[in-house]
Amino acid sequence: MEHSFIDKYSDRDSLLHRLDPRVKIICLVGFIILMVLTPPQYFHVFGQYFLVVVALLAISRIPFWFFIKRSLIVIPFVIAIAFFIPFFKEGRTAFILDLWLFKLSVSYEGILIFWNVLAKAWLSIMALILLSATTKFSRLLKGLEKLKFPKVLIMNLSFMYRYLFLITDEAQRMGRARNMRYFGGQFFRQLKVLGNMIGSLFIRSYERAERVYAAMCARGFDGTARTINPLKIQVRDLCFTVIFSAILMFIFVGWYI
Amino acid sequence: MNNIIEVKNLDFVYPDGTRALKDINLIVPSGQSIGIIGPNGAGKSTFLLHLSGILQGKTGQIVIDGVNIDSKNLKTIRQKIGFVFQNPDDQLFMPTVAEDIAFGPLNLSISKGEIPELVKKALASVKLNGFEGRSSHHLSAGEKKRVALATVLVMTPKILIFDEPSANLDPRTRREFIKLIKNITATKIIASHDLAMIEEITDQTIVIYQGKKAAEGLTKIIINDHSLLESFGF
Ligand SMILES: Nc1ncnc2c1ncn2[C@@H]1O[C@H](COP(=O)(O)OP(=O)(O)OP(=O)(O)O)[C@@H](O)[C@H]1O
Ligand SMILES: [Mg+2]
Repeated sequence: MEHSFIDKYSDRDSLLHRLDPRVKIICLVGFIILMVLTPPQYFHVFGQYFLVVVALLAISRIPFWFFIKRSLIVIPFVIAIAFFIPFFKEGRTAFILDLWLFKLSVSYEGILIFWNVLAKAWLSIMALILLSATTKFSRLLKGLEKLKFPKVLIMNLSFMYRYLFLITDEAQRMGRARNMRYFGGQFFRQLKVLGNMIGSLFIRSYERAERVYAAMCARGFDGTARTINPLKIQVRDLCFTVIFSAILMFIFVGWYI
Repeated sequence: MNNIIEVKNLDFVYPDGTRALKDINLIVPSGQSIGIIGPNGAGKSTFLLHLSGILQGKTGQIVIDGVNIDSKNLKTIRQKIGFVFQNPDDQLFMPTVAEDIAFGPLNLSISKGEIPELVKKALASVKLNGFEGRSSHHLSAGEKKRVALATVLVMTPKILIFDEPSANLDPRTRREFIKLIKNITATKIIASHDLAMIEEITDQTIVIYQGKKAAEGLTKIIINDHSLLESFGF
């Protein structure tokens, strides 16, 4: 079965795709830090950040609707966390919500905080999607590794990426095998069946891990992860970093003046 | 001719009490190809795992190319032995093909500068030129099998071990893979149910039945001894 969920569109070709993952990671982190430091009342500055994202999106040739749809994933979380702030934050009243039983007053300060959380979360996730949709997962891991992320963590992530789909396939096959013999009803028995399925999925994964470990040992693994480094910083990486930081600084310093 | 593998009185019991190997003896002259056949659960895979030191029995002795297998010299042993596992998904655990092939040589402390060239050569030897950047889970079964072989060949082992190399391959891919194996000059140990392949590749064959070595001889003779094979469930 073919899957490529995490890094969909990462095998296309564009300037962003060809950039060194380290450059992309650093630019992403820089972008997010500056944006988070920007006070929420400078609406036009957020507009400019948004324009930066849109410009990168245009360069990256990721389909627009895919991008928007995926970025909306954070919205429910943000709303769950920040929805009540406008009602509780003390301050100048913006308007009063007249519900049948009681009245709720909404403050300007509260709305501002809500906007702050929403805009920053949304812009952050959009920047993150730009990174993950233009970088193959393997290259992303290489980039993190070169940026001195702990090796154990990198190895775990790379195994996860390698075997996630196999385990999903296994789960799907088991689900299908059950559905062939399931004729509805018997809710509590179904729960038990589900429990057994999860259990056997766990054991299969565990045994696979043992076989993989045997395969690693057979090729001389002794506990130290040694890897090759196919990454090389090129002129375009430097150019991108310089231009991108210049634009960011320009925007960031802009709201001061 | 010197013997590259010597197995003496090998016994093995799995932790759950299954007695998988009983008093196995085997001598393999250097450069020979040995087929291992036997019904499901006979102990073929278990035996192969012993040859590469992944499993170690309490009794018995295995000498590989003059080196006695124990936990201290596993690194030397693994340099001599390449193991192609039955399921390539277990063998290809790195995100990309190149990283998978580089995994073994890096552990043998080969210098990083030589590795790209080695990877390229290994891929060429299994006719997958240019596959370096591909991710393993998007390969076809036949391609996975060949990459798995490349991850082993790159370490230039003296002995190659295959567990069911032709399983899950379509007829054409199977033929191509058999041809690849045939052209490798190392000593080969091949466990399989595919008697036609065993006949094509190997010189000697041993039959394992219920953990014991039940028969041994020239492949031509064993494979054509139908009454013998029938008595072991073929
Ligand atoms: N991890 C394990 N724990 C306990 N018993 C095991 C384990 N692996 C294998 N066995 C048992 O050891 C015996 C030999 O198994 P083995 O896998 O070596 O057989 P095989 O000849 O390779 O069979 P097949 O042709 O099906 O691959 C079997 O009875 C099996 O049930
Ligand atoms: Mg087996």
